Amino acid sequence: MNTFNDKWNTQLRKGTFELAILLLLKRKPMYGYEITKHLQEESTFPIADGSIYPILKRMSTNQWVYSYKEEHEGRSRKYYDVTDLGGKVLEARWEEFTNVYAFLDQLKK
Amino acid sequence: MLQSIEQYINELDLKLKGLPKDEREHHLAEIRDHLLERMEEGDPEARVVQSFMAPDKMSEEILQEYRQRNAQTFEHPNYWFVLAAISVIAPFGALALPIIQENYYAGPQFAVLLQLLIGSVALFGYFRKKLNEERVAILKKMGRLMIPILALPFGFFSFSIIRTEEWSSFNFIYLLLYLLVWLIYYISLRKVYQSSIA
Repeated sequence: MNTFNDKWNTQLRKGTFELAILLLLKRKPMYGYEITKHLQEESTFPIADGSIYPILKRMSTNQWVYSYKEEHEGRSRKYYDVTDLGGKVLEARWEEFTNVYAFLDQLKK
Repeated sequence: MLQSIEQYINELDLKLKGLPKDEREHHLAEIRDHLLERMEEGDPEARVVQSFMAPDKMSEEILQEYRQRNAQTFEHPNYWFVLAAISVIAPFGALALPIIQENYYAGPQFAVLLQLLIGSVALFGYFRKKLNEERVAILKKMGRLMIPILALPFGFFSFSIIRTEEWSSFNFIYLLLYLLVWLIYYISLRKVYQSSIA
């Protein structure tokens, strides 16, 4: 619930979705719907169904993830996995994220 | 209000006309699969579609990502397409020269034919599945330019008769061959245009 500042919440969500996707894909390759389900079940931020696709496209263009197709029950599913560059981005962003969290936590005391 | 997956996909398809065709088809296929998976989990089709990001918003985000990506490229996004189209049409001007020269000089004409070949492979091969709204509009203009180009071979033919006061069989046969090649290219351009707007 956010009754104070929608823009802050929106920006925070936008900033962490890519990190969340990279963390998920680091576990195992996933397809779009699977990623959405995990985010919706595990995330405290609601993600609109479908909003993942422009994000995945951007991450593919940036070469943080790559995709491949696999047949599943007569349909072709597009799976995503992290690239080496995506792994480095993940590490750098996670370090930045924990530094920011540690700083804020320090300020709170 | 959208009730079915096909309605959603059709509406999104219309709104994504700014994307190259192959990219648009990839997005649509992926989103269709997503919606079908949700339905397989037991949700009614109408609810699946109505709880999904609306086609307006989805297309806005996809097109925004596409525009941002193109803004980062060194050349204009349609630069190579325009070059390919020019490489198909411009040679028809130079190919008319043998009529006024009353001879075919293979050396200079080789470069022209090479340009035509490369342009054809690029336009009818590589770019065929990468047409978006802007490129289709460029294709239409280029196709229309082909008609006034016909003034060149006919003009050269007439000029040759006036100058030599006789009918050259080489010029006549070359003109017929020119027209045949021109017709093949014009029909091909038209077919590519019509398949992209279908």
